[in-house]
Amino acid sequence: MNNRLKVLRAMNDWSQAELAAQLDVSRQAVNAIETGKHDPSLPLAFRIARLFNMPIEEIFDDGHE
Amino acid sequence: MTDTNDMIEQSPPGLMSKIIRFAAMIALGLVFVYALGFLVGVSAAALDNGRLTLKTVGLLLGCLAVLGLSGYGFYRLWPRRDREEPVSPKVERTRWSLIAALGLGMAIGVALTIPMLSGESGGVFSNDPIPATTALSIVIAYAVLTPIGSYFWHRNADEFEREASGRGALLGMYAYSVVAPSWWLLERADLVPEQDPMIVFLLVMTVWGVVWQIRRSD
Repeated sequence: MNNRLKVLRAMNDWSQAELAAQLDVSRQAVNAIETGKHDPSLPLAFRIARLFNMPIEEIFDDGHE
Repeated sequence: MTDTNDMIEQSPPGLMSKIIRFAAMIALGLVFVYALGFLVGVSAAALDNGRLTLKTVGLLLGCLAVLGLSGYGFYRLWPRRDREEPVSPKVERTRWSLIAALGLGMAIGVALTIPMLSGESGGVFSNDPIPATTALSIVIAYAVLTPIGSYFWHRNADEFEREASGRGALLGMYAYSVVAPSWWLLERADLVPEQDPMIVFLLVMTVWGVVWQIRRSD
């Protein structure tokens, strides 16, 4: 699944570790999501969406229209 | 907030360099445990004898040197970036439970090294008899502390960490399902020596640990 997490993080001038601390996950988890190695669970996806104040589908894209 | 350099992602290390790094950390950890056990055993023997010979002093200094070098090497190989970054309390608790597990493993390793020094055992992973008090102490500590530590870890680990651990455990289970019956059949055909449960255990744990760490690393 594609996502804009890296771009959104850069727009907020946060490091992976800073974002991870806000999401209550490890930096490795943020890196894995950004690189597409790990698809977040729904609860984590909602936490990410709330943090950036955006709908989930504007952050994550499953490739379907 | 962070500076621009912190935002630049470094190219991740290759699979081979990750494997070499983890293998080196495991080897240094084992050397550290052996050296610590040796240090405890030699010190205990010197106290029992009530005298400190030049040979004992040399052995103790040698142990300390090996301990220092292996400990420093382990410290250098530990992912440095992790120590400087902000972490949430939950992630911090996960790390501490892993450190506690490492400490328990080291304590057990040291306890198993001591009978080796008095000639009662051939090594940490040998099948030679050991004193009943040593065996009971280790089993009680291991059987009680491992489930508590595992429960604590699972309560605090994030979903990616649990997924990485789960994948390692699955591949470890596959390794077990291949190795145990294959060895058993080959043993029945008198092609290999008797099955050694500790070798199978160590193999499964190694597969689990290596896959877990490779999966969770960048």
